[in-house]
Amino acid sequence: MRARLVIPATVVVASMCVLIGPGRAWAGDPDGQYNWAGATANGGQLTVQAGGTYWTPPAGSSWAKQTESDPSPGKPDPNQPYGCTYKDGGLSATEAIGVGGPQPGQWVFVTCAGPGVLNPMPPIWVTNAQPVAGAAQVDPVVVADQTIQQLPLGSATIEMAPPAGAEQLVGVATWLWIEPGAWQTLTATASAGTVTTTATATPTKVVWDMGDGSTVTCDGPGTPYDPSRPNATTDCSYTWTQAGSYQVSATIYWSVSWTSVGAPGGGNLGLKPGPPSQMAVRVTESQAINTPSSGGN
Amino acid sequence: MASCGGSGALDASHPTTTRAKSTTTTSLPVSSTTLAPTSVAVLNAYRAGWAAFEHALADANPSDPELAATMVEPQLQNVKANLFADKRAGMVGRGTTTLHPKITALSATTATVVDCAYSRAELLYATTGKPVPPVTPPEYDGVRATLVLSGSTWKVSKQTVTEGTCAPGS
Repeated sequence: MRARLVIPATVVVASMCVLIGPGRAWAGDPDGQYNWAGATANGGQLTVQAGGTYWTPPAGSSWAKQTESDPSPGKPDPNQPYGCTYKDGGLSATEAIGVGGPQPGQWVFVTCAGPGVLNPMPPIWVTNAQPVAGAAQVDPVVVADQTIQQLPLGSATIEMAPPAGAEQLVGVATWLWIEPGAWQTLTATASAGTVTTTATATPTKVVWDMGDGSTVTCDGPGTPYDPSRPNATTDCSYTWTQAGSYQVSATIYWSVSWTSVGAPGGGNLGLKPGPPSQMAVRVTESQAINTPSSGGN
Repeated sequence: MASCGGSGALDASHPTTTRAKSTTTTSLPVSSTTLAPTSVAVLNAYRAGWAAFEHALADANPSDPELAATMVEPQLQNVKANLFADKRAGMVGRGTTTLHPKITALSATTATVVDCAYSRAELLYATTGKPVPPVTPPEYDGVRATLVLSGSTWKVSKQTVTEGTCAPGS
């Protein structure tokens, strides 16, 4: 099939006019060419205007549902010579093509069957589009933003071993962890009209700023130190190399996603940091704690 | 629909033999041996519009920046809409169009170009590379384009293509 810079006039005008006659073309700009003229939808009912002619699919033919269609080919109707299905293009179409007419509106994609029809048909801009009869035009992205703001991404208490109140030692690994209760998946839900969105935040890592220019990234909350298990190990620790006073902070990063009910939408929003927790620590040079071996026995 | 050619048109393929009639709607020279700079700019802009379309069609990309660089509304949105529909249907384009443009009207800010373009561009299914039926042989298509001066650049503002409606060399 020939690639179309625009809808070939022969398709829209000549071929279709074989059946529907001049002025009955799907659409036509004042020159009788290729532009789809104004189209409106109300309660799922689509009306296409081509010049002074209005073309309306039968009642119950929702443009937003691709399974719905007007009469199939072979059942001629003066206004509906072709079997066509409709599907709205969503926000992605508007972003890619641009706004095509009065707002609110959406691009609607039409697939037709009949003599001379070359699919894909160019989309038409439908104004006042309402995919569901009586439904309010609610942007799920706006609702999702409100939902995400409700996620309680709080800060977590910093824990250390040796204990945070005690001095840390140069050259000795300090265990790092956050209160385990802070490491759990959070959800929030908000609704507007018929649209309900749910945002989910899952903790994925903790980034520790050790105050001396170093950072430690732990893939979990860290392991609490248990004095009764002296042989236990941790994958979240840090060893200072210089004595001094440092401001340590810990930030939980959350993987945030959202879903929508009542309108198309949803997706992964990536990692978002929660508010950091902070603590001052003092690090001192360690004193010799081992006596020479010659001193034993 | 515009015809291809016609008297009084500047033919870009034969710039040294062109003679244009003076009309009330043009500011073309009555006689010249070479195209005026403005005419050259218009024809180059017309060709650039086609090149941008073919570039964007290669991957059915309605966001190709070359489109906005060579077209203005309503042509820009028409092309974007078609490309988006092609992309949505899993189609891309291949092939080129050989142009023979002629200027039929020219003012300070508007120009009309007609063409009898030899089109070898076809739509293919992106996943299989097979042509989208009905497969059509290359043919000469009548083209009528309106260009406007946008800032300091000529751009295509409207273009119609009527398949198989002109004779080669017309």
